[in-house]
Amino acid sequence: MFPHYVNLWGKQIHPHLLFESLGYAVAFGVYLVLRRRFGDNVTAPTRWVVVAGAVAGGAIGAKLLFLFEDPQLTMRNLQNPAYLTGGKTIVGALAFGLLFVELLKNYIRLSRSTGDLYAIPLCLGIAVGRIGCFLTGLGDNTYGKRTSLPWAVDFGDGVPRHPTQLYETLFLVAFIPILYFVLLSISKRKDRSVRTVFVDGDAFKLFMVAYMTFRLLCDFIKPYPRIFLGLGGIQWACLLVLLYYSRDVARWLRLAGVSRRLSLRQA
Amino acid sequence: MKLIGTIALALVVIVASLLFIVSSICMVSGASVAGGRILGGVFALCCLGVIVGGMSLIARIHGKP
Repeated sequence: MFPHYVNLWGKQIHPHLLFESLGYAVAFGVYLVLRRRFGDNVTAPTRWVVVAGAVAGGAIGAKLLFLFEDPQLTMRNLQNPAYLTGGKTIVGALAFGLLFVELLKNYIRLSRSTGDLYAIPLCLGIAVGRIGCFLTGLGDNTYGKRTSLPWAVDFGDGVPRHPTQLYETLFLVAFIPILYFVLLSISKRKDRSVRTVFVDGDAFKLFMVAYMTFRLLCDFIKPYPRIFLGLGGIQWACLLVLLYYSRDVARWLRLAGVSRRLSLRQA
Repeated sequence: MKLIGTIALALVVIVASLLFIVSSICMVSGASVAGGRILGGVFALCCLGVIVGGMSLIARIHGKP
């Protein structure tokens, strides 16, 4: 039965409200733990500036990209403030959060990477939030296309669908150990105790590349309108972010190749 | 003074951003009526104004000549 309200102390709480709030809280808690464990590479005022920029950009981007999900529907609702301010998308939040922070860093002339501590909290926060999307069902517009796979879910319209929200949660939870390993490698590299291909900022970049690639592929099994060349608005945003990080991906692949050749020569 | 100003402004921006996000119908669907949704739209626009104003002030405080 969707939406599946959660009973908390005798009160019926909407699952999206509950899990989205829980996602923010978990992400913030994990961020504090990681900051204590790995330290912060910027001063307190700079961190506040970066956090404010990321949150503001994220909030605006989440709504802005939502309007491009279905441009025809948006055009029909230009006079409807409820539609224009309603809905949001994580890809927009991440892309515009990144854009705002980079612009802000450029304005205050800060060249140091500041995103590594956000990678795991974002991963965990989105994973928790997606459980709320799944329990909300059709009203959340994050479900998948019809499928005959044994784990298909009927969200209440009689159509067995891909539970794409749960795919995302599983993917993100599985990716957390990799991000932790990268954070650890960067931290040990600073102590010069280990050689690694990763440098400051790579944990966040790796998260962005992995998540955008996942969404680019996963959105093919979602019933969204395709706006251009068979891709939806969110997929185009994913492609733009991947293009932005293409130099970093090339660097990882090049260094991984060098590292493999070195280890083969030593063997 | 700069630190306190930055923290205060950042908190205002963060709270306004969260309220802006919370105002989405996706989150409050089922609890809103037609009039409430229009009010929600106006509320979201006010939050947007606070976010943009707050970020401009933060940038001005930290901007280097």
